[in-house]
Amino acid sequence: MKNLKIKKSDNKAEITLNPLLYPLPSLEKTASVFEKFLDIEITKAGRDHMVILRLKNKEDDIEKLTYEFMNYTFSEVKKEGVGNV
Amino acid sequence: MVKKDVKKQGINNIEFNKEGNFIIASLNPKIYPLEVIYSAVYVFLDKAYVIIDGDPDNEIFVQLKAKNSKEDMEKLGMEFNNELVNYAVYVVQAIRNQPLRKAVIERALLTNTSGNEYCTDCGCKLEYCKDCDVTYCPSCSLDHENETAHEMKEEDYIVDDPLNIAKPWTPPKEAGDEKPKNKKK
Amino acid sequence: MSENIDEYMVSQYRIHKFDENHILVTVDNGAWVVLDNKEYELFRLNRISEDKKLYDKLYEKGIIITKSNIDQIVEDYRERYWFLFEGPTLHIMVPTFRCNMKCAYCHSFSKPPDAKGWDMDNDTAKAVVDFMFKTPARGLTIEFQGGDCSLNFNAVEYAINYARELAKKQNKSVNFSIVTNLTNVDDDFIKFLKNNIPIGLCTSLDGPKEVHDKNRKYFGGKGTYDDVTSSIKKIQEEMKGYDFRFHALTTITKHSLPYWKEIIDEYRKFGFKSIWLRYLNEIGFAKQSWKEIGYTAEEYVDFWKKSFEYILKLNKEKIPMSEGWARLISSVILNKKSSNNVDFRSPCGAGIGQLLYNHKGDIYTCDEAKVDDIFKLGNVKTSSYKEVLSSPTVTSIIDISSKFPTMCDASPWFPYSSICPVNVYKSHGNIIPDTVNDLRIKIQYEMIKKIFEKIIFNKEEGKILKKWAGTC
Repeated sequence: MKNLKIKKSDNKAEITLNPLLYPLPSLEKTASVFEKFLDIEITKAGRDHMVILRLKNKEDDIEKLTYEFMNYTFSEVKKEGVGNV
Repeated sequence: MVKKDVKKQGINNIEFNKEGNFIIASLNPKIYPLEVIYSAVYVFLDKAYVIIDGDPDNEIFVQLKAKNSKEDMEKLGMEFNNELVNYAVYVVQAIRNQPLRKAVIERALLTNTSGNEYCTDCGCKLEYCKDCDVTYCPSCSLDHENETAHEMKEEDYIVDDPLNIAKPWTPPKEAGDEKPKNKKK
Repeated sequence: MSENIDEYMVSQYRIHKFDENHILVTVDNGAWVVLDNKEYELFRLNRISEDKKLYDKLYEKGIIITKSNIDQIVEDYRERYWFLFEGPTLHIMVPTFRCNMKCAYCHSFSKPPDAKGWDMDNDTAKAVVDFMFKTPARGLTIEFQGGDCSLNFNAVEYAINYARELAKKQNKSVNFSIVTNLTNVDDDFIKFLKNNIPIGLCTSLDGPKEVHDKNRKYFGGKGTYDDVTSSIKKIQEEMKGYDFRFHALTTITKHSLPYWKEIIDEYRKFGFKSIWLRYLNEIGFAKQSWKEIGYTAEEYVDFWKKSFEYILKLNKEKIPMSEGWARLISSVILNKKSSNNVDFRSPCGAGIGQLLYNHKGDIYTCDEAKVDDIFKLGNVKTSSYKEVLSSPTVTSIIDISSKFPTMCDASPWFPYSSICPVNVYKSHGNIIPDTVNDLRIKIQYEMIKKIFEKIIFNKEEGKILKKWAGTC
């Protein structure tokens, strides 16, 4: 997906997220869980959120952590009732 | 989104990327509302990494990247489509049968929360004090939730007595007379 | 029979066509009728008034609602949903998670017999019993499970004595049931049973040795058949003449499937007059080893049908034997009242019909849920009864297992089937079931269809099922 750019050489990932699909509170909650492993920066990029993830420990896998971050954020979004059936 | 020659080739809203081991499903939010998409995606969280993008008014993209490289992505994509239908049906049914669901839940809750508890010390039926929001035993005067004595207010002692049977004869009041105490419920 | 043809309304119905002249019509409260093709055409085209006999048939059954039968239909609905007016009647206490066995399908994830920290103390047992008696139900059944409850029998005895005290104070009735693997039966255990009658005892016997020992082994790996069957004989001998209910249950795994006749004959050998051919739950060890012990719905149904036909044949030869599913399903088809079995109602008993209490006093919705904190409702020492019973978890389970939000609503078997949200969650990842592919739903639908076939088309076998239905 175009909104996800993982740069393994820089141990960095950049994700652009639609706030209608990933509200800020869920992102912030996830950030507090992952701050042990990642330096997390959440800013605005037009109407979207721009999330930049950087590895704290270079031995970790940035790709895996990024996807785990996204899954965790999604489950927080679901819990909050966004898109609750 | 939907290929033009649908009759010949069938509906195909999923792109498979074998190399990257992921699929991208493109979905019409007018057919599958956001709540249905989220619920369907949720089921795949243990098998796949998920990312959602797009415009909730026009088109939603869902990427499912398998956690296990041996996962059959084509099958995963088909299962995802089936899951969407499952949740769409759920939403329709849930709305359609809402009054029935409400009636069943309300009845179950009413049975279990309408103060049918009994004192484990003396066996009396517990009562509920609205002001203090506690359930207490009228015999032991114990607040059973907080294990403190529930002080019975004067109003708790008053009973209906339209024929004045409970009222003892008293001489006419003189100044300084106080109300009789210890009227028990 | 009605005197005149009144204005009527047709209840929400679903149909199943067995053949041209046997069209089954079912409605929400479990009432049903069989129509021939001509009758069905009049029925579906709303021309019932053209045939007085048809009108009367539908009126009697409550398939059509009129001013004169509406009170009876309302009463029928109330009877069908009687359990919603009662509160939890089944309370399951887990005095220990330790067990001396490691069964292939254990859904408790039992701990080894020497594990520490998995036993209930008497203080917790008291708090658990106090909580149990907060139910509005006038009668309770307290069931002791595990692990194996015989490994912490002190807590069991304490709980029974205290429960009897409370029952007397509150003028409630209480029954007890011990569920144990019967590998620890000694004279003390027999003495306990004799001193505590009336009491129920339930164990597992999965069939002849070659089946039982594959499914149910000691922690060390040795089979348990010899010890269990020796205990069964001992208990039956010692407890003759006592007010004592002794049952055995089977759990069917892949290993059991070829032995449908032998399993039933094993139960006959030990004098059991009923057998419950329980299918696997995809929970606990069963989920982990599904490839080795699991099966498809079709495989199980094939096994069950053969067993069922064999048991009917035995009944025709005046050999008493009934099958659990057949008995349960016949009961909900032939009686107005829903079953006493908390697992087989809609909504299911989780939370509102049963509660489970583990060794720490944590409260769960039911015994299938006991190892998953997503179904934890609170703790007996810190949660109020109201909080527990009105929790969002309980409400969600009531909602889903009512079946109204699912496509079960469109099925003719809707009034006679049940959903287990815990099983659905474990197999599917969400409590909303995939009603087309769910193992339990597929199996149930086939069993219900079979039972209806017997009732409608076979007088002799229908009579047998009516007799079983009366015992549920």
